[in-house]
Amino acid sequence: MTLGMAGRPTARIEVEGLTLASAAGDILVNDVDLAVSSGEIVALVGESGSGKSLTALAILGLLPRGIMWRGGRVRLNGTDVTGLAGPHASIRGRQIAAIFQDPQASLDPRWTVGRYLTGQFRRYGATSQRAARAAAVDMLARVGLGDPARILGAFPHELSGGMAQRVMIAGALAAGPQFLIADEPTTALDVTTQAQILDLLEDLQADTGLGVLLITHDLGVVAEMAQRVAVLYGGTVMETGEAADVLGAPWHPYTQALLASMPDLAQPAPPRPISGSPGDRLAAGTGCPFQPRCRDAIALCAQRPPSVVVSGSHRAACHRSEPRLPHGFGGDKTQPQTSGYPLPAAGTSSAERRHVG
Amino acid sequence: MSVDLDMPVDQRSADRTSAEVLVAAHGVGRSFSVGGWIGARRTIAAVGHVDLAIRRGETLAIVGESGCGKSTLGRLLLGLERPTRGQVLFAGQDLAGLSEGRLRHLRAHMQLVFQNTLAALDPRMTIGEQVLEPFRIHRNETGTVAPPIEQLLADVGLGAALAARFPHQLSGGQRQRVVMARALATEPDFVVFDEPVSALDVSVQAQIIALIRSLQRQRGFASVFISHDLRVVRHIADRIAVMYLGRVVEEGPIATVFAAPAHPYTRALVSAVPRIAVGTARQRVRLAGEPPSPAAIPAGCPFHPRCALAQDVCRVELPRITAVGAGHHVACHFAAVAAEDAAPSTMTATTTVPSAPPRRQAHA
Repeated sequence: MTLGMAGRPTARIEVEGLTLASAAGDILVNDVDLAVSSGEIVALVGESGSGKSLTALAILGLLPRGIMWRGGRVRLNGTDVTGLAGPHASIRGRQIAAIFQDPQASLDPRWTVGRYLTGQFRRYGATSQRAARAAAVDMLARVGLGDPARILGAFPHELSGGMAQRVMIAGALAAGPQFLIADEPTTALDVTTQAQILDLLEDLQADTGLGVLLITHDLGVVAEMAQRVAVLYGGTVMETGEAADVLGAPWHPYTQALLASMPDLAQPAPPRPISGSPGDRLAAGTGCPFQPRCRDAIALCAQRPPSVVVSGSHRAACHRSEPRLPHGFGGDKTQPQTSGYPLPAAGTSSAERRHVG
Repeated sequence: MSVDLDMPVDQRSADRTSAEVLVAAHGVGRSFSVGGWIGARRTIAAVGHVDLAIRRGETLAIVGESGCGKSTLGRLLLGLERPTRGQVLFAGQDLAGLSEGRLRHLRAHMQLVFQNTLAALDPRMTIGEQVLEPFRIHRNETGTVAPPIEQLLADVGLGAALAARFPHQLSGGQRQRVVMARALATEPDFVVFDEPVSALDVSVQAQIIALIRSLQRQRGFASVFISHDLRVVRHIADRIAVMYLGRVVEEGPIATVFAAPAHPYTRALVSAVPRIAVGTARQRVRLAGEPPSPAAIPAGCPFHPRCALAQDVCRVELPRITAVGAGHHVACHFAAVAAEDAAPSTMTATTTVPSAPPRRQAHA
């Protein structure tokens, strides 16, 4: 563990080559690399079946039965935590907390908020019931719930969706984790409540230096929250990099198509659909998973897994993508771009092309 | 289907303003009585007092947060729910005053499409049987002969091969198309869409939005599009009505309301929508608290406990809905103030957040 610039220890989750399969042998997550450091918000974006939630569950060691681990490692601050289970799993549980889409379903309907939260604090170090209760009251105030005494006595069904998500966040932070995995934390909430919860996550992240892995399907949320982003399709990372680069000048046809299909108030043109459904994909290893829906696919895309284009931290897995600079950054004068998606040219100055798979 | 899907919605709405009113709500309200056996009997006003008019061929979006009464209002407009106050007129006839037979006859002309397609479709019937069912039910009412099933499925972008399948064999997007084919089979004049795309993936959601837009243009039915997602309605509706606790607080042409929202609640809603605008600063009006329950609607303006503009008058007097522009109506004592100055800095209790990603440095 190294020290960051502000003197806070820099913690890091690293996922390397994560590959998961169903019991039937279908590859669900294919060779996914991902890293989250303390103090940053990293977004994991994708549609149904993209493997974004499975990736999160693999990090947490909470994979459902029937999901097979085919390869890859999860490291926490350099320590391999891949195989940790049973009592050792608490190492991970203490340092990586999680919240999910439906907070009401995550809370036991028979327990009051007070019983849940004091239980969390007792488990993670409070020496007495009294200390745990005091810690719970403090934490409720920190997550923006006024009148903690009333909230502690409430049952989950008496809470609104936004309040329940705040309670979940309070419980998740009880152990003083270094990381928070937030899986679609605002999808079930109304837009004004969503804005409140996103503000809260941002504030907590800034105050505590928490590293956040934010899983979402909403590119607007990514644009507003994340510093870095990974876009998944069919279990494969299609594109990753700084959020401003990936959303501002996407290389991959899928990222481009996903952006165009997203209705946006800043955009007067109606959303442009992607044909087919997220279930249409090539199996891992045979070609690019997005090939069946890609407007730019060539014969090669169905034959070989995509090669990876890299420029700095920005990478895309596509036979046809090539690095493009964001608008207003000059661009490469020596290579006029005649079509929307130029064929890869040899000798692109700052980029390299690797063949994988 | 050669329809120009890129034509902005705003350009379509101009010629609709003179069309005949098809569905009209006059002071419509719906209250439910709950409890009573143990504990006090309470009345929940799901819809308070709503005036609306939907012209032929026009699409009205109804937006608002959970519990604002938008779905109940949709059911009232279809006559599926009886108002406890006011009346709903369909082509000039009061729905509440109609006999079962007359209502049944009208039902062929009005349809409901909602979010949960698995619930809307019969799991034991094939897709073909279900799409043709309305012709069987409404045979006497419409007198129309069913077109070939291939045609009905092609109209919603589905292949004929799906006719023999069952609902569980289809994707969510395909099921929504089937529900739409069935709803439109009898060529209704009026369709209520209740969150039809909320459960779908983004790429598929855009397909259904494009389909609804093209069907609207080809068939010319009037519709109400109920949604909590402002981004979706922007591309589908001609006009928008914003509801808060059972009342319409703002209503007007969609482009006007998005460009210059006049009600403080509309402004908060619009500003809370996440935008994909990389590198541009924007301001967010933070709205404190959550909507109170419809069982305990605050006195005066129902929005006043969360409103930064609220004055004494707002706590005691319910604001009337008044015109602030062409076809643009707002229920706010300070609508003029709100409309004039869109800068949230004048709203004392709100915080403005300039956002230019990356907003937080890892170790500042």
